[in-house]
Amino acid sequence: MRLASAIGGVALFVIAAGHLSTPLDAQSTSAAPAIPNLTGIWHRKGPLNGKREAPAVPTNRAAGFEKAFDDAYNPTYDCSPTPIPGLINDNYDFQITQQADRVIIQYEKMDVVRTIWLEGHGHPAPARNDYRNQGHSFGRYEGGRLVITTTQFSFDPRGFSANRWFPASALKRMTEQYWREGDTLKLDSVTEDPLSLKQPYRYGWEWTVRTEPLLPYDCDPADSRWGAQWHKSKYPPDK
Amino acid sequence: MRTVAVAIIAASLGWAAQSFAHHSTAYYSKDQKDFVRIQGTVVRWEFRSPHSQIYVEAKDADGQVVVWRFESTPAAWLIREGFTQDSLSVGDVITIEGFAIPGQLFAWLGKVTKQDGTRLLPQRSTATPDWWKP
Repeated sequence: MRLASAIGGVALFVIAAGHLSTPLDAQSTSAAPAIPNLTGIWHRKGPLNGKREAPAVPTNRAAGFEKAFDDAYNPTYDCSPTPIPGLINDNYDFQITQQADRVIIQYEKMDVVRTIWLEGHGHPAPARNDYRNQGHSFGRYEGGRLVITTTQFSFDPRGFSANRWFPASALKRMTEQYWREGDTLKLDSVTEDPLSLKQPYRYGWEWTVRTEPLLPYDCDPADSRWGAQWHKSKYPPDK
Repeated sequence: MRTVAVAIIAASLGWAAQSFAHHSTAYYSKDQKDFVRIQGTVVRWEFRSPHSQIYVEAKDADGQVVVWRFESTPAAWLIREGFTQDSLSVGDVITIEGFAIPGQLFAWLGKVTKQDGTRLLPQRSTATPDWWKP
């Protein structure tokens, strides 16, 4: 068990070291405060710098999975949250709360709560076999930005979008950079998955301040799955 | 008097769906023959997620009382359009239009018009046909 933890710690170090070389643009933020104030409730304005990025490009094996996927299997019907990056692409608001050793991001969609463990506070690495819907996120402040690296995602057919079915493997890795310009929150992100993506998938968004509190989503699985009965399966019925 | 009128409206230019649905809603017809406009009474109103629901009692073409279920976007999206829990009450007489599952009493909500003329209009979604103009 200790050995597993030690190995997990080494793996985390490798992951943490790896994101120093993230392919995200390194913009000059010398005038920005070391810890930007990102706390607040955020409502989408539009794509980063007004430019919508191209959709994720699946590998052949991922495209094959999508082609074979039958809609009734969609975990969304059972109120299972779409993992990032798809979760962030869905047009719902969210709230950021910054604490000394962590950042909490609560999404209106599906009431998802992500904890971003800030480096340098002794947070333990996740166990090597601990894969989760939203992965494990570690973050740091750098150049006026919050930089988050997330790994150890569980396999999910909605790997990169809430509305497509090419899956993400457990090798998926997402890097997010958040910063603030006035009342605008900005995100630049890149997601990589050697099994499912032909190339890194990049996108960015901008959000503005929202004053109303988030609404509970309180997803009702019975209501959610109701619609599945109307879909025609692409496969013949069993006899 | 509660009546049911199934209307076929003329094709017109629309605009692309601006938002995703919670999951695919391809089972709702985008065919103009399946468009419905109904005058009836709200018997149940669920302002919730993942889909809000309006149940409307009305008479069908044979004079039989039926209950239609109109599905819409989550509460978090409706509220952005000023469509809140208080926008409707059980007993309200409304005109409601939407896009039905063929042969069923289920439809995707297009628009609600209250007796005082107030219009309640959700965001367009992937279930809203391009030809429809509110």
